[in-house]
Amino acid sequence: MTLLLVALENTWRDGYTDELVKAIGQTLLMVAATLLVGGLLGLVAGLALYATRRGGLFKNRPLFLALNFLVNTIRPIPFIIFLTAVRPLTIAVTGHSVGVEAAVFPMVIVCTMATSRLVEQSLVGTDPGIVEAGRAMGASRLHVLVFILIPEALAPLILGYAFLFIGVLDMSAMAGAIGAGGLGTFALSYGYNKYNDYVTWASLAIIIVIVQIVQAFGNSLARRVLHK
Amino acid sequence: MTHAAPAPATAPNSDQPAPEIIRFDSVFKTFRTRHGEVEAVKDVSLTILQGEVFGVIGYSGAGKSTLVRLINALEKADSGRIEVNGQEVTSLGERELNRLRSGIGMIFQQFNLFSARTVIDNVAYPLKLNGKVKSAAARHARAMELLEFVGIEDKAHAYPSQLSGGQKQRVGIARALASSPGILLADEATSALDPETTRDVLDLLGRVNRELGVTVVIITHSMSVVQHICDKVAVMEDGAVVESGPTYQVFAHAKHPATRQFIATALKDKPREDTVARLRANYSGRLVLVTTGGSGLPLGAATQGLDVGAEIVFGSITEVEQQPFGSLTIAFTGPDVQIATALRRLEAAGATVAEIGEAP
Repeated sequence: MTLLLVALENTWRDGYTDELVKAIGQTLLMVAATLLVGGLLGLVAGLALYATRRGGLFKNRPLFLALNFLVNTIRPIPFIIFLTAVRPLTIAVTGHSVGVEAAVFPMVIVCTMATSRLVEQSLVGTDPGIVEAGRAMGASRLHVLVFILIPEALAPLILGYAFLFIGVLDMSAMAGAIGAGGLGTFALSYGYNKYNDYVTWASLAIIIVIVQIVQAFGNSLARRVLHK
Repeated sequence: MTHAAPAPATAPNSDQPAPEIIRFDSVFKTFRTRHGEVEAVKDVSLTILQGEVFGVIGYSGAGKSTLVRLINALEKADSGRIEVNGQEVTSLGERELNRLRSGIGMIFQQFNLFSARTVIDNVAYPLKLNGKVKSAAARHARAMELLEFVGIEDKAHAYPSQLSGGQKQRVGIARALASSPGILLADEATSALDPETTRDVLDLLGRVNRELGVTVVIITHSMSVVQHICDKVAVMEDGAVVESGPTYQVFAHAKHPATRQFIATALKDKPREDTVARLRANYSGRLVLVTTGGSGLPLGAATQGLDVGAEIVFGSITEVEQQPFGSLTIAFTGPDVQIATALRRLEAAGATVAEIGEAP
């Protein structure tokens, strides 16, 4: 703890404070944009994975298999490789090959895949009797999925998204490789490359603080919605 | 509670026969599983009248849960006709089915309450869903009435996890009644409850039937549930209905082995072989099994003026459809002629007598 404070103090004394603040801003921007878009797309994909599976509300084997294959293929690719591999597509979609926009595009794709699994797992954990109760009341399948199942799975979903935040933060650091800025770039260019470990540790300190805050927030929110 | 449900159109025991509300006509349903086909419902035909409490009894896997899910089309029949309120269910589209379902309440063994919502929000949910009651305040007022009806208004703002099993099922019943259904389906609704709570919940279902005129279909594997509340019963085995009719009649004249088995486990009134052997060893005289036939067993009158001893050594008499039902094993001592007279008097009173044999 002391070490991290010393690192921050040294970063300040070495005149990197402005750069650090800017890096924090870039990181938060990338993470927020990715979570917003990827989190929503992943929610839809996760609902689709859950609903199209065997015995699901919208049982559809071909669609399930296709989605499942897509998620299983993209998710395990190391992000640094994926990031560089999708460059042509990134340029086609965003018009940039470097910078924040260029980084956010592959991050959104991977985030969508990861979210879809988290959402699927949270929903699989709900009691199938809930679906039956909703259907027996005359609720449509879509209604059951969106308005009955999501509230039932809210606590694991919140914890899942908090977990996801950390994964996206991790990805954003690697986005430094294509000049997206952020804490990853900061640590590499001012710390590692200049043999200034204090600067590297300063970015570490910031990341630890951010993660702790988000996780604590997620935990308390999940506790509040969990009535089990 | 005046608008909880349509008033009973016809009381079950009035002169006019009640109209049909549910009708099965040669219904089949087969599930295709990885382990082959399972014929869950085989050629079932039955009629349920408005205002009845109708029991469907069977062991697990007998197809009774599937049968009840055919009524609100949670399962689709392969062939045959199913009519609910005169409407052919098997041909309905999704939208019409949802409308039909909102007129059929359902309660479950595991209650299936929405854990993320409070008790009152659970009960108000069907109203929110069918959109008939627009304002949230009006929905809550209606939900509160229902909670008062089932007797747990004090738990309105609790979450389901804070309730006991019996309380959860009361919430389930209130929720099922919210949209004023004409039919209530109870799928093993008391199987997860202790005996005392089971009685309370069955009594509540009885009130739902009598006071709100709701036709109740009860799925159970317990004959005592049928005995406690059902007007009529259908016994299912391997997907087929093997016996059905008014509860007393089915109890009194059970033909199918499955039915007899259920009755025996519910009443435990007839001694099993090992018990008979023990009784023979312990009591002198003739052991006679006397079974009720619509009224009690007038033992005093049967032995009056005779030099006959009658000692009750086994049995149980309970009530089925408000009539005494069961059998007693009696050790008769005295001259054979006089015992015969006593037995004739019992038979004249409607009882059935069967000798279990004389003590060696």
